[in-house]
Amino acid sequence: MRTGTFCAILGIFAGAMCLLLFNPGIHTGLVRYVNQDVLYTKAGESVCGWIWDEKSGIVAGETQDGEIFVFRGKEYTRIERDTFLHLLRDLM
Amino acid sequence: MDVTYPGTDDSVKARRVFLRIPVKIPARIFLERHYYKKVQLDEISTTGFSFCLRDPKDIPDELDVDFRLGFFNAIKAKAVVKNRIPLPRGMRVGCKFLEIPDADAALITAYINRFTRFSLPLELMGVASLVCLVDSLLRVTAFLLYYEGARFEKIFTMSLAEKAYGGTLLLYAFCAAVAFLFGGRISDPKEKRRFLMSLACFIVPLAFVVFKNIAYVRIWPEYAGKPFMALFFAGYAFLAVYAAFTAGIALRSLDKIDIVLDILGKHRSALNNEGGRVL
Repeated sequence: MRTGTFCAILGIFAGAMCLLLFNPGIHTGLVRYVNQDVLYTKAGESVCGWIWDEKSGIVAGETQDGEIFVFRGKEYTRIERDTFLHLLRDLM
Repeated sequence: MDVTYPGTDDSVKARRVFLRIPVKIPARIFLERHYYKKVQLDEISTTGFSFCLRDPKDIPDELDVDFRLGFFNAIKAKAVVKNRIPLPRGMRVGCKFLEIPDADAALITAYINRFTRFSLPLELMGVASLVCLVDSLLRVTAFLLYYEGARFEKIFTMSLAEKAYGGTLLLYAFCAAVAFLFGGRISDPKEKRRFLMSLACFIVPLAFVVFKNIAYVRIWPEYAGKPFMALFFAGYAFLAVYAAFTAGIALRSLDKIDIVLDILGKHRSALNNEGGRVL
């Protein structure tokens, strides 16, 4: 009974691991997802995406929908880098 | 529960080396495979049972009995009358099982264990270690995701302490797995050793959960105002309390387990000596 339950749990875990590690689509998608940055604008909105570069207060990047954004220093209040990575680190 | 020892001077008491519990279970008596009458079992053990009859004079020495333990567990067994004790209103008839399937004997043992709450620490340990096992595997998955994410991101890198934490998670998962697998049941000293190993291994998940809760208390202000996180932290705090309670109950039950195993061991030796089952 317990061995069966244990094997079932281990099987689900092993399956998830295999998908995570060996399926390129899922692997890339998850890794990109956890590396998202969040930019908070002065208008009170938050933009989730990936920041490519930040120079002289100007930030350029790509949103989840694939749109490119550029914000000047006076247009945003703060940037949270790797938000989900930090969340994972805190929770795991 | 009567506990005496085989080979003592008192021959009646010498037989009582088993757990016997009072019950009120309806049963049907068959004589030579023909229905005889309905009775109510007053006591049951893994070796036999007793019931009261108002007019037991015509009951023969051998009979078949049919009763239920719970809703689904029907038990049929062949028995022999061992004694007839006169009572003010009728007679108490004590019987021993002659032929009973192993599965039915196991059902009776499980029933008696439930009655004596012997199975409580096992059940608590089972649930706690299972939850810890699932938690540890989820954490290992999260760690792997974190590792892959950190490897992908050039700016954010993992420290050595974080890498060592991966080893701690593996230890947590291993100990939770051993605690879950070895904490199944106890019916002999070998299984008691397995239970002790399960309990010893459970200390690691317990310590992990407690320390993790302390860490969560530290980071709690960062996540204040987020309902999902509040739910997560509350759930994990509950797990810590439950795991500590489980360990406490299991430790307190060790004496009880010793007593029961002692009785079961003596009972088995009595069965081997007498070649039958006795109530």
